[in-house]
Amino acid sequence: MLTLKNISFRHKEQTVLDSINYHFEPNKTYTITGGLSSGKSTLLKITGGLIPPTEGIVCFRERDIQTKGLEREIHRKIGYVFQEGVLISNLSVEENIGLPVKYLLPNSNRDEQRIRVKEMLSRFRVDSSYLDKRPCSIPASIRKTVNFAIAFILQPEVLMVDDPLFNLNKPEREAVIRELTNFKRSGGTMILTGNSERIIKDLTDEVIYLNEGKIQYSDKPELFFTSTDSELSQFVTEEIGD
Amino acid sequence: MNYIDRIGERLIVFIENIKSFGRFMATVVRRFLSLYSEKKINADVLVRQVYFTGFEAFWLVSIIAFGIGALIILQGNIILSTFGQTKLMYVLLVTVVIRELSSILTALIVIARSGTSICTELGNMKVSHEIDLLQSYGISPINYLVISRVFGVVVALFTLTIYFNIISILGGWFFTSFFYPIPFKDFMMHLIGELSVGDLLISVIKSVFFGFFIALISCYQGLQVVVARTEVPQRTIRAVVQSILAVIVIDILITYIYYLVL
Repeated sequence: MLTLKNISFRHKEQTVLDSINYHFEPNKTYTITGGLSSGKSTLLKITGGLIPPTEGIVCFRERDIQTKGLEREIHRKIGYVFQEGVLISNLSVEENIGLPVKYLLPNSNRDEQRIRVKEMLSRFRVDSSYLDKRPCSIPASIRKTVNFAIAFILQPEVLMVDDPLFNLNKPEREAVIRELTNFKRSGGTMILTGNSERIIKDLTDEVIYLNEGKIQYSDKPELFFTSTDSELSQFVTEEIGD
Repeated sequence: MNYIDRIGERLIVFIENIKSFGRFMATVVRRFLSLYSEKKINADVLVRQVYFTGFEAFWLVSIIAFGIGALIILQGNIILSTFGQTKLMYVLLVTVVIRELSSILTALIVIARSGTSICTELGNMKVSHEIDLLQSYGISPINYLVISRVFGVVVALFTLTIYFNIISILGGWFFTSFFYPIPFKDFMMHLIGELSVGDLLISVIKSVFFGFFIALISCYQGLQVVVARTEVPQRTIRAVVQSILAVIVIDILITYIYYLVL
């Protein structure tokens, strides 16, 4: 479904990602894990077409996702949730939800959309009193759940989430895990990042371990937790947890 | 690294920056033309920009315009009356205020208020990943954020320059009537006698170019912010300096072409 071909990314003099090749298959959940500044978020952003790689290409169904004119088509199919809840600061929560809906689903029925927005917000435990508020006046955890709600309203084929449980309180965590599980069951493809044990054990089909800009390990979570590789087992012991 | 190497390195960086800005400008113009033909310019951002740049600056522009009109008459009257040439005050008002100061002072006000605000806003949006968010929806930041702002600043600066001309003439008349009580109608008749269509045209043409480049430079610098909030004030200072330089260079070019043509 998504293929990384020889992806490298350099920032100033530093090599963040170094010649990465990988193929993401449909209907599977991947978790990219690694230490601090290992390039997890950068790899996810490149895979989602948010930043171009310094070298290499990302193909979505055999088409380069950086191709001009394909933005709307590609992003209609790929949903993205940022690590920290990101919303457009000078728009209200309602306008923030309306912006991608208006742009990416221009022909949809407005009443149906309104019902869907309300239903999705309640599934993510976002109180409707937040709708007319600006992002700066709502808690960070609510901003992130609004991001999740927007991504789900757009019904993507692939969902990319940068550290799904970061910044969330317990009730919102449970709601997010429940919705991600439902998305997985419905046949959606997910690419997640982070070092959450629960996410890796309960949701992931394949763990990708990044170290020094390269994929050092990629296999099933059971094998990831029982690996005899000294570096990997040290990483699991020290970094993986909830 | 010796002195020559350093000069060469700076020259290369300067040329690269010019090329990068040129590419940005070409993209904005191309997208503007396609969006304009598809009637897809972001109306909310456009209206907000015209309101902030044009309407909210109205009183500041009015005070400065009134003061400048009055000062030109005051200074002109002192100098010209010694030669018995007080009638040249109208020429002075047309040449100095309408042809030059109206567009340039309005541009400076817009740089100080709107240029800084655009650069800061876009810079902060970049740092807080709002630009990435737009891209994740497949929305081009140039289409959504830049084009409406550029168009809004051009419309607002054009309108403010016309206001400036009208109010500075009123200020001029007000102070003229202190020295030589003269009915407004007579004052206007003398002024219109010295005023040509070209004088008005050059004033508004300059305002359009000034608005375009001020907004473009401010947007460009705002979007150049990479990761840190500390970059935002640095980029804002660059936006102000480059906008002022651009306004001066464009002013000289347009004035030169005007005198060449007429």
